[in-house]
Amino acid sequence: MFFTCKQVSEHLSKEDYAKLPPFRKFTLIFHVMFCPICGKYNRQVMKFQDMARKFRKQEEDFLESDSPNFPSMDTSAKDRLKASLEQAQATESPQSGS
Amino acid sequence: MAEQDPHETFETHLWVDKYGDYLYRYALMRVRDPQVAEDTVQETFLAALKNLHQFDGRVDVKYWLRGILRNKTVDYIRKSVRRQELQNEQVQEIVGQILFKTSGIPNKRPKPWAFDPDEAFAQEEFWEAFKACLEGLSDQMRTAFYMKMIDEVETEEICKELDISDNYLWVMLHRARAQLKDCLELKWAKS
Repeated sequence: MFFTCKQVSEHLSKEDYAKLPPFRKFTLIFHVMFCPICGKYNRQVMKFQDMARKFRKQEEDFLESDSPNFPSMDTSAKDRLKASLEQAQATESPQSGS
Repeated sequence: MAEQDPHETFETHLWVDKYGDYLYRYALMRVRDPQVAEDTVQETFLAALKNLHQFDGRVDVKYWLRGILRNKTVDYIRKSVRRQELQNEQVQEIVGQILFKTSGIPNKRPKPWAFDPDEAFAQEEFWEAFKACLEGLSDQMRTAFYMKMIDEVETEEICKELDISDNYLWVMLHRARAQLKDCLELKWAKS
């Protein structure tokens, strides 16, 4: 009925606690609130969630950037890619759009 | 009425110029090898051309291509990582040894951050350190972390795509956080 620290750690690490049935979720929250070790672990996991959310935004800026300082495909690689796409497109039948 | 060619509708001839670098960087962040990144981008474009009729237009073409690319990079990682040899019981044992006493009580308290994360998040250089630390994780660990934390993929799907057990994912995510924290403390807190 009640969680051990090990079980709490597993749910926090996999971040799947939102899917627990209401009473199980309640006992997990209760455990985290009153267990200093799990409380601390939970705060660290939450900090990583926060970090990941912010990194997602950073990553999108990085992917979209026009800056020459960021890695990009060189022209010859792009040309090869275009040629292979043209070839694939030529062999594709028009019925694919139906 | 004449049917419109989907290649024209979706301007496939412009894909390389419009999305090439975006996808290349996305792949490079995940697979780290520039040649593999290029290959997966090519495979993505070819797969997209083949399945153009499945594109329903609900998301931007860029994000549709990115979704295909994500699967390609995960495929690559899964194939390149030696098949997981640890059995469930062994994983459980490792979890027990590293983290918990037999009663399920943790062996030690989590160590506090050696720097103020909120303050660090506001600085551009921190994210460079974070990226470098992510690159330092093993391929499988980095992929699991990306899928769970950045791409927000469900646990069941990650386990299926990486061909790992639920418990193994738990161990990997736990270790990934611990390694990232250690690495950030080295690269950031001491700088």
